[in-house]
Amino acid sequence: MGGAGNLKSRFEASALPLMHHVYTAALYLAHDRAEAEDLLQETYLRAYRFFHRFREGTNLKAWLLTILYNVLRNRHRHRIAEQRRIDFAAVSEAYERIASSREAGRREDAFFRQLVDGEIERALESLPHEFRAVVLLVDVHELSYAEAATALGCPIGTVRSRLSRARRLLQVALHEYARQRRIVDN
Amino acid sequence: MDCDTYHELIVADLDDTLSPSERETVRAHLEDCGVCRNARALEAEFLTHLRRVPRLIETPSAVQERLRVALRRETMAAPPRARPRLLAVLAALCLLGALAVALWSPSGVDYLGSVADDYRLAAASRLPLDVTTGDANALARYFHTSRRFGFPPPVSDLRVFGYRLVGGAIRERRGVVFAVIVYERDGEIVVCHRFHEVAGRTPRDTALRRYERSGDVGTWITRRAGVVSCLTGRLPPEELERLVNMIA
Repeated sequence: MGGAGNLKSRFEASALPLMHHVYTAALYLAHDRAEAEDLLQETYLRAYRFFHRFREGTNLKAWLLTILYNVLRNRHRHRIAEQRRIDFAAVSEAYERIASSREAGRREDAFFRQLVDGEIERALESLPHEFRAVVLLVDVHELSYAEAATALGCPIGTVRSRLSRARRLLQVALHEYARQRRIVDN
Repeated sequence: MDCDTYHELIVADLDDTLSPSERETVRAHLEDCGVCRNARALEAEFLTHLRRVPRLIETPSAVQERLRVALRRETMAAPPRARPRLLAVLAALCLLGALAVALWSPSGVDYLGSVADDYRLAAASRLPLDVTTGDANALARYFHTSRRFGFPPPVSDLRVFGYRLVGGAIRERRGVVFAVIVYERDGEIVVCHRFHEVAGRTPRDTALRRYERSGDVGTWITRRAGVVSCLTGRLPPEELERLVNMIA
């Protein structure tokens, strides 16, 4: 019992302070405040039940986010497995145009600075699930590629390629937004 | 390597996750490729903006309180397990083994043997399939429209793990109707069985998940909302577990 009591206090001292990180990730992944709250609770209850499996000295935030992602995946496996068709050839072409505009000296590379607050978050939320999750884990929560791969249940190479595609998708979406608002010319 | 592949390396380089040799490869390519040089500059700028996305949204105090209450309730119900000692583990395993034998075959059905047998037939391409399709929705529709189940057996899409759906079948053993779903990856077969619990005919133990072996074949068994799912293959248990987490 002493061991269990010790685990309980260690859980409270180490896992509870990370609650805001898990809640933030749940908000980005769930799209819905009520579901995010529900995900947070289920994640913590599972983490508590299996805290004896957590390896001391490893990244507790990454472990909690892995549980969060598993909870989400179990709930929405069909939605997550559903691959939205994206024409990546067209995305690459649009992205190259944006990148090459730097060379043309049209200063469109600076358009990010002119976007209104929250536009990048909205673009992030519009990404297909597998791309949103990887950006969230690596760029927002600063997990390593290996930790993100564990959380997502995929190889590190997949994390790398999804990140590359996700960042191009985000920039193309943001450029389109900037074009519509005449922040950039075309 | 094309510029798409270099883009992955450029992003990884900015995230400081490249090996020295990969970094050198990227550096050499950037010297020759204006497109990738522009992309790198764009990515570097974008990254600074991306990292300003709010990364800490405070949990509302009411939600925090609800969570603490739920955890307190959980604490009272079942404190987290400390790492048990070896003898205690062995004793528990023996007890569980005895319970499993007593509970798993309530009506004499060697269910584990039969799922492993199905696996061996599928691995030898000798398992008869009612439907051969790579479309999970089409197979799910077939199960659903057969009206032979008291529930619509879901067909998971395991493409995210590199597995393609081969097909499925409906089988019946001793009055229990099963959905059998076959997946394949590079010649490695994984078979999923799903069925609804039937009192007195299907396993009635309360364990939600466990792993069993039959010779060189392993099966992860899970139960959720009255539906038992078994995933069978020759994969290492931890890899099979990753897949069962997806389907359960």
